[in-house]
Amino acid sequence: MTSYNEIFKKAFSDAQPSIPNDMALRKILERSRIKTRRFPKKAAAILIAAAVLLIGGVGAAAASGWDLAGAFTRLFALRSQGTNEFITSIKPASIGKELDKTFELLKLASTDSRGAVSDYREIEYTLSLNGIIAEKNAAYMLFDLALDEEWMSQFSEDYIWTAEISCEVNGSSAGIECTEISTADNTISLYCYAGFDDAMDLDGKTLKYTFECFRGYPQDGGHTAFIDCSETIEIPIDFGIYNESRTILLDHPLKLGNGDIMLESITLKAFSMNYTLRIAESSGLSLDDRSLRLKLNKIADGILLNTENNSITCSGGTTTLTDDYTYSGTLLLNAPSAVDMITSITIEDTNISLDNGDF
Amino acid sequence: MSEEEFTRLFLLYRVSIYRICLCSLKDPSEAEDVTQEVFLKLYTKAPVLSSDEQVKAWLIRVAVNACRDVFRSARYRLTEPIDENIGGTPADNTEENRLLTIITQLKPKIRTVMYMYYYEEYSVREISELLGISETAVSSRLQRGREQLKALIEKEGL
Repeated sequence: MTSYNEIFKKAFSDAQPSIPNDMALRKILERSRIKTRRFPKKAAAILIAAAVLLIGGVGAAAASGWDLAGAFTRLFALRSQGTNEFITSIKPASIGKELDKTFELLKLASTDSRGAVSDYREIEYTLSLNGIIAEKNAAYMLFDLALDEEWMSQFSEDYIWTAEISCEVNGSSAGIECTEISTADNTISLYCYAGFDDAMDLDGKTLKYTFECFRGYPQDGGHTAFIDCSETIEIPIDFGIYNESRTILLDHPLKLGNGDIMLESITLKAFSMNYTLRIAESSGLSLDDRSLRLKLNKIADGILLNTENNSITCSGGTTTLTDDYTYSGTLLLNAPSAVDMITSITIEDTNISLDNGDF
Repeated sequence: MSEEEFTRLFLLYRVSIYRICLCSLKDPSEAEDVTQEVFLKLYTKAPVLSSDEQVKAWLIRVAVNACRDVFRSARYRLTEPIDENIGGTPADNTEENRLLTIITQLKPKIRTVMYMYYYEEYSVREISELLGISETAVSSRLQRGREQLKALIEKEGL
């Protein structure tokens, strides 16, 4: 066997459909007629009208502040590309420090325009799973790939990075899509989304992904310097104590310049944190949409879910899961009738303490 | 599209589309079903295409997408065929069948790209356009495929 062309020609030479041409053709023509009869114009018009009503209903539900609106907001934020908001909104979740893995002796293969390997070299690189948000039947993953700086410097900035990841849970593969979200210095960050069947519950399962990446010029007809960083890593998914929501009611109002503001509740839930901030009625302040943000270290900027009753509900993920679940950060207020406020907040397990700080 | 024109295109490209589906799905009967769906789409949607080559490219794109849908479906995962199916019965243990069985051990993404490159003889750029992936992705899959196929063939002693 001398060439791959020969191998493929030989392998597929006998591969023929078993149904004879005339029978297969007749079947298709019959089905095309059935298909046409099944959907007369009148039925199609009714279907379209129903679809319009359905879309209108969903829109109205979303506008009314039903949770769907929040879900969409979050989804779009996660899926938007290249903005800081996108990065911070998905970066926060992590499943544990032990998942950071470093691999060495990366193989670099230079290929010519026909794809023949012309050179192999070994370089160092680090592949980290920087974050993962596991939901019931989906996983959002953030990878960082850092390559040897000296080696990277020999490539023009025109080189593009691409990566492919396959992902499976207990033998079921996921449809997985990756988006390059940033390439800075010698690092590439990739955001990947893997969705499983509705019936799949990731809790307690092991997520197995295979990572491959390569970099090359797309313009020169196939000449590629490709990096063999194929790795298979298994990640246990254990929502653990985060599986159930915990809501912590706070009774320490933060005193602001001309009124009090209350951090009403914080809900910890599977690598994310929902929190509700409410301005006390006595403050006389009116909460303007998006005027209030809680920004905590180790917690992403909150994504606005809804505002009602003079409160703002946000959802953010945690950058790391620490043993003591202690976070600190700042509360930012840009209310029209108050000066910008900065305070700090510390959350320790089930005990929340607020430090008003200096402002 | 007239029935005559459709029949001509069907006879011209049926085997090619079937082989692409077989390469992707491994299961002959599943490949036949998807091939039928692809041609049904051609007949009912009748895309305006100016040449036979364009029709073929359209059919390949539709077939690849249809195979992806099948591949992702729970039904397919539950009934994924064992590798031996594609190679036929033990009596069919010819070199051709053994090679086909070896090729199906490659990942679907890789074997589809390799089939299109080495069998259909599309260029890297054309495969990139047909599959909607970057040229570097095509090159990488070819590279990986060659390495894996070489190792498998050596292992089988072919």
